[in-house]
Amino acid sequence: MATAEALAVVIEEAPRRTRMSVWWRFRRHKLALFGFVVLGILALVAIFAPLLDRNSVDCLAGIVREAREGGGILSLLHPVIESRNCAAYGTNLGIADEDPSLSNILGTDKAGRDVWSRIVFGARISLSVGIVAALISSAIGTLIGIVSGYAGRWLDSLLMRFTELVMTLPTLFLLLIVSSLVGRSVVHLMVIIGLLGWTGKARLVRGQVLSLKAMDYVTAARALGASAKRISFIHIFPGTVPYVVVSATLTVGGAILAEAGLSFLGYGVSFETPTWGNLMNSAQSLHILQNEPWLWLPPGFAIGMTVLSVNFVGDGLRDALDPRTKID
Amino acid sequence: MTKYIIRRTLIAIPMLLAISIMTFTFINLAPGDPVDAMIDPEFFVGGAGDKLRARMGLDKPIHERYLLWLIEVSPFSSSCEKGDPTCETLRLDRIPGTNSWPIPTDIIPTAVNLKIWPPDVNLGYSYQFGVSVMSMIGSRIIPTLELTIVALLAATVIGTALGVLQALRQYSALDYTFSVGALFGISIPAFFFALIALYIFVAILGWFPSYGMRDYTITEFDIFNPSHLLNHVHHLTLPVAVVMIESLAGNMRYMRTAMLDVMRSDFVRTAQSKGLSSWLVFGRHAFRNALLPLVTITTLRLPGLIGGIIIIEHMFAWPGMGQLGIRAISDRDYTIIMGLAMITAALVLFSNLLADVLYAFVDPRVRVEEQG
Repeated sequence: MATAEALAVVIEEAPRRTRMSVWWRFRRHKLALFGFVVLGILALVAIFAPLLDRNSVDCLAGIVREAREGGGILSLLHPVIESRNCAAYGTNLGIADEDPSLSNILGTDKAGRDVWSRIVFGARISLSVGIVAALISSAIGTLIGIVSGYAGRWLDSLLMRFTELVMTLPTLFLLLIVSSLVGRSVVHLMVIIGLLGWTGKARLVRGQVLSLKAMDYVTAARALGASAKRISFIHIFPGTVPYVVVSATLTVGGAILAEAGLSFLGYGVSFETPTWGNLMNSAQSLHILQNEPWLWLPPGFAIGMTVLSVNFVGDGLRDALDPRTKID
Repeated sequence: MTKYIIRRTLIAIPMLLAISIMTFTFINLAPGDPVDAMIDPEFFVGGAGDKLRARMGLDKPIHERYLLWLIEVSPFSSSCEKGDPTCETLRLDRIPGTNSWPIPTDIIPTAVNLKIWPPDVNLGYSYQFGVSVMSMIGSRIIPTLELTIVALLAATVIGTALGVLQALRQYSALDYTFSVGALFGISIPAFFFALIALYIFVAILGWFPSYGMRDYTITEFDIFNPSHLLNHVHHLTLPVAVVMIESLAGNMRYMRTAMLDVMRSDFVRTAQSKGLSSWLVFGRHAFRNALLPLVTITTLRLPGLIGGIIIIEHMFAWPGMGQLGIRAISDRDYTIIMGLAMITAALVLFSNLLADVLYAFVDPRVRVEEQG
């Protein structure tokens, strides 16, 4: 009796314990924790960008006042939405091309916009491009991987040949072509980076599905008469989730880099939108590269720090989710 | 093996066709066309643009234009002998302004003056410049390949060595430093490294030239002339260093994990317990086995590397395919984009095949499965 009770407790606690041990293992990974904290701070910076920027605050005070008069709970969100009118976006040719000073700690660009504000606001674009593109590519990659791995036969070879096809073309070249096709908005960029980034995940998931398919519990489910759709999504899909999560995390970094590269070349988001890649675009001029490093160094460090943190977290997650790796 | 190579080569044909259809569709859906990029808006009066479009065949529906392109580049359709004046004029006539427009000096083939180069492949004619696409790309393949191959080799050798060193000294200060360094390498965009390199080594220290493949004073490059070669290597150093960082870091990370994996396996323990020297155990047993998948990883990395090279070529004014590609995309020069896409795809497919063959060569197990 006592044994049965103990067993029941063990069974009940099992999932919670695994989850806890994942968190526990993740926490042991110092660098991963560091990355997690940095990303958390960056996310806060992105969300509260207008409040962190001194030059925006005056401008925002006006907007908030207007919003208060309008009333309603939305007035709290209003400054976040209306931030476009403030220092990061508004041009002021009177103060164009200024060196760093107390009011503009990183100087101003050639349209008189405060560079510090633009870096702070750039966090929004870069982070959201990274996250949304990673979500899109993970969804496509998982779907194609599961269908391909579970269906097998001709559908498998068709989908895998198609995957190889997309893998064969240099990603940046394809991105350049497609981004000149769809126009230079943030949403377009998220979608095309996502649409081109799924190949690795499709192959990863397919490999996992192939090995899970041979497991006894899947055979049992099939013997019980479960449909192919049910088996692949209820029984097999959960087994692939850890791998997809790790890969998706690392893709966030890749997508941020892709956006930065495209914008740096001038094929990304249009220039009035502050993204870190756009901010570095100015360094293509030798004069700015040589004499005004404060314009391009900080956004470069911002990209590096963000992607580094993402990769730390990805590495930590991989070690935490894969019970085979030992954390000493 | 021969059979396998032939089969893979045959599979490459439909793949190249599919890639050509994909690329053609993408570039033709893009807003604007060669005519928009070509004509000074001041002269854009009346139906001048449409007239030019009709003359270039740009008014035809997209599938018809694709077929025309396919027929043009098909190796079986070279209906005219090379040098046949009527035939050449007929072709060139489709592209307006051939004789009147000066060809920018930077696209004149300068890289290699071998008689067999560029190969006699027809990829159509550029909309902007009216010259054969192959003659424009031909001179640019070698600089890009040089950058790619030198960077890949350096990344493989250095990355492998550092990765193995890390595995042998696991959890040491050196291991941690290199691990974090490798993560920096894959996290920081190559163009930022390039900017920093340009800032430090070119702008401040003045150690390296900032652009091109060699000094302008060298008009006829002679690879056997030591001073010419040295000058070239001097120009090559910074771009290669920047291009290889990402692959190098990736290789380090891979080699560390793979070595640690292999070192835990039974046959290494057996070798150790037999009393073999640690040099024999790690060198002959562990290292060789950890090295195998590197062949595949390197080829998988190739498309990404070429993508990175596009930016680096642009920044260092390296006269390769990437630089031409960026320009062709903003010019909407469809034929050049198609030519570049075809050549890159063919190169990647070829290197995939090469990797498979190499793999079968170094790993006997693969060959057995092939026969079975």
